[in-house]
Amino acid sequence: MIQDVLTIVRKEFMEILHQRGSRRAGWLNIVIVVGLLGIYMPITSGRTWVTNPIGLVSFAWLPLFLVMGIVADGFAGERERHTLETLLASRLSDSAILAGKITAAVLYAWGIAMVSTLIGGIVANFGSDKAPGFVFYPASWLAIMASFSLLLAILVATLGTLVSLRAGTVRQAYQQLSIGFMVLWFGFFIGVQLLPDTTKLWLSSRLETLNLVVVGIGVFAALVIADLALIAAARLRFQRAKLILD
Amino acid sequence: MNDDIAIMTEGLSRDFKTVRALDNLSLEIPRGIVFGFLGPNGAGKTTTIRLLLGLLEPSQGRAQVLGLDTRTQAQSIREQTGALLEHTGLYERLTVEDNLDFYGRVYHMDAAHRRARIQELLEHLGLWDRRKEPLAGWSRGMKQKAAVARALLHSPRLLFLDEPTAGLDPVAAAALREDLARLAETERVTVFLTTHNLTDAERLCRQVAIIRAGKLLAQGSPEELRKRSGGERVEVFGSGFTAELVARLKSHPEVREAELVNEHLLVTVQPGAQFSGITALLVGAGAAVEDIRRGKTSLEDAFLDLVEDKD
Repeated sequence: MIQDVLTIVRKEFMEILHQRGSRRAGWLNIVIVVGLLGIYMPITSGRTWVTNPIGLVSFAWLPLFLVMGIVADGFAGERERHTLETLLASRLSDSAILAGKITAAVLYAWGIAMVSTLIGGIVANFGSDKAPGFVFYPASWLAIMASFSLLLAILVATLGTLVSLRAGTVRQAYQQLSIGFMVLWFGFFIGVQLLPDTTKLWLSSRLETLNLVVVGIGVFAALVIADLALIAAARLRFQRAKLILD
Repeated sequence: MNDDIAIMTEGLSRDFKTVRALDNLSLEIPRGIVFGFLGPNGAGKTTTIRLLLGLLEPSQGRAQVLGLDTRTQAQSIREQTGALLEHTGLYERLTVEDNLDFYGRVYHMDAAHRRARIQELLEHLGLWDRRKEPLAGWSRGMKQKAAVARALLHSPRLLFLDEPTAGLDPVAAAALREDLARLAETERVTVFLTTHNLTDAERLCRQVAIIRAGKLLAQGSPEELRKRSGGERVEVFGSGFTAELVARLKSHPEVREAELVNEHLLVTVQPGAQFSGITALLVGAGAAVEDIRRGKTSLEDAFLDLVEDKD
């Protein structure tokens, strides 16, 4: 099973790298993202990039955006390019194909986020504020960021896979995912704005008194549960006959 | 199931909502032969392959492939079979070498064996020198060759090939026919082939089956089907062939069909018919007969007879 998953992951990476026509163009794409987020932004921010949690918070969300394009292509791309049926006619099990596709998207997005984070932590020391000594993110922040972005990447990758399993084209899958996230994102902020002032004040006072450690544990637990539920849903929805006939 | 039987179906049927795509198909295909599955578009050929690979579940009936049940042992079936389906199924962003390497890994071929087998197949198909090029720029025929290589890569015991010579030039098509015949004869690989090219089927297949609208119309060797279709084709060259004469010919007891094609007569006579009586009729009606060419009914004729009979 693990060997089969790795075989799919390897193939997915090759396809991702060749998305822009050649392997060189694929690597260049990654280098540009890492260069911008892992070198340019930290070096212009200087040491505050590692001493202030804002840098890590922004990297924690990065996989969400990186994973969408990859995962939309997962099954819808295979269907659009007429490679899906041949893949399904091979000896690979349902679980191996599904796990391989999700793992590849997660590793790609989370990998870029982590590499950018680690490089950023180093190059921030060479920014304009040339203070002596070397500073790096506190280990606890880094661990929280790494776990949160991993769980988030799994969530988006699995959700995207569910959409991609039924979408006829990559464009359709991508549009459905983008619109879904936009509705969630803007819906949250608009919803808060629409609340009565008294409710907003009450919420604000509640937030100020909340224990952040408890909130953090709650968020992590919710993400783990959501990830597991979505993986189970994707497993149920992966049916060879439906994939061929859709 | 007898070990000498590669594929066995009993009353296999598949419905798509209200449409019956395959209706009560019963087949027995021996191991080590090239089997031709013939039928017009939409006859149920692709559905049959999907059912045999366990990609679809039958609505009724059952099927065994290499002694394995398609409902419960589909993965084992797919482990031992190779398939070239309706589309080549190749990743066109990648090179042919990358594609074959991927499927070699899928079938757990070790690295040395995989490399050697890829080189062997690509050299044999004349694709080795272009192994590093992305497939996106390749011609349809070259992609088809690459897809054939992928289907053969892990040396399967049974091959499903959906229109394998489509897009191939005549030389490549002949070479593929030879390869398939050799595989069946020397390595006892069973080849389940669907094709519209009846000349291919006639040259290559030891047994054929003809389906239409999901129903099996006939099964047997090409020779048996030709005989079953009955009749013998006779071309009559000369002059004075009129529509009235064609009508009189059609009513002759020994004539099954007669038509005027490019100013010569094409006559299908009953099996064992003596053509002298027909010649006398033609001459008596004032036609000048210059030449008579008798030929065997081809598989194409038999196919058309069977398919048109059901219209």
